[in-house]
Amino acid sequence: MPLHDRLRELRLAGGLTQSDLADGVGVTRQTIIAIERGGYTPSVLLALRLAAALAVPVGELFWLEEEN
Amino acid sequence: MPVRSWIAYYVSRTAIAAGIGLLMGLTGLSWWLSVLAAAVVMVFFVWAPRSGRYMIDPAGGAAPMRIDERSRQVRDAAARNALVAGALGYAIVMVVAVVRDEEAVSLEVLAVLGAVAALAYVATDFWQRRSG
Repeated sequence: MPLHDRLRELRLAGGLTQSDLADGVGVTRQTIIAIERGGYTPSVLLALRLAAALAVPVGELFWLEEEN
Repeated sequence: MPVRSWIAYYVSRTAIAAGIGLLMGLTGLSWWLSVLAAAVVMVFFVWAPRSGRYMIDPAGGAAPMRIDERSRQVRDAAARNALVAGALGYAIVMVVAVVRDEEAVSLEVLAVLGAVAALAYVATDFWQRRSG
């Protein structure tokens, strides 16, 4: 079940660079890039930190595609 | 990160690189190889904060470089593949030695196995970061 996210969209809306967000949540810039590309599924802890940093509920940032 | 923290980072890394060079020199390595070793270590320390692979934590003192959850995952996968490659290589060498009725395995073969394991580590690290 693929994980979808609005990380890039919400990060840009907040005027943050990938480095800003990475520093804010305590990960490397590569990790932010990987999540935005869909190449890495973050831990629950990191997902919650990202949601808090972008001031949105975690369900608005990440969601699962419904299986048909 | 504040400028003072960066200065502390570079001063401490320079001391470590110089220490490694000095240690190499004391082991009998030629002076230019010792300087080269120190320079390689220093280049790594300069590259690390810009690479996006490491985070620099000034509170870390002598060990300020940190990796995050994804790097940890990549490292674990690379180490697992290196171990599997090394163990498989060792098993093949042992089977060949038994079949050929050899009593001993040369150190060169073991060095090649080490290189195979290292290659598996680097390849996994590269592939996982690239595909991420």
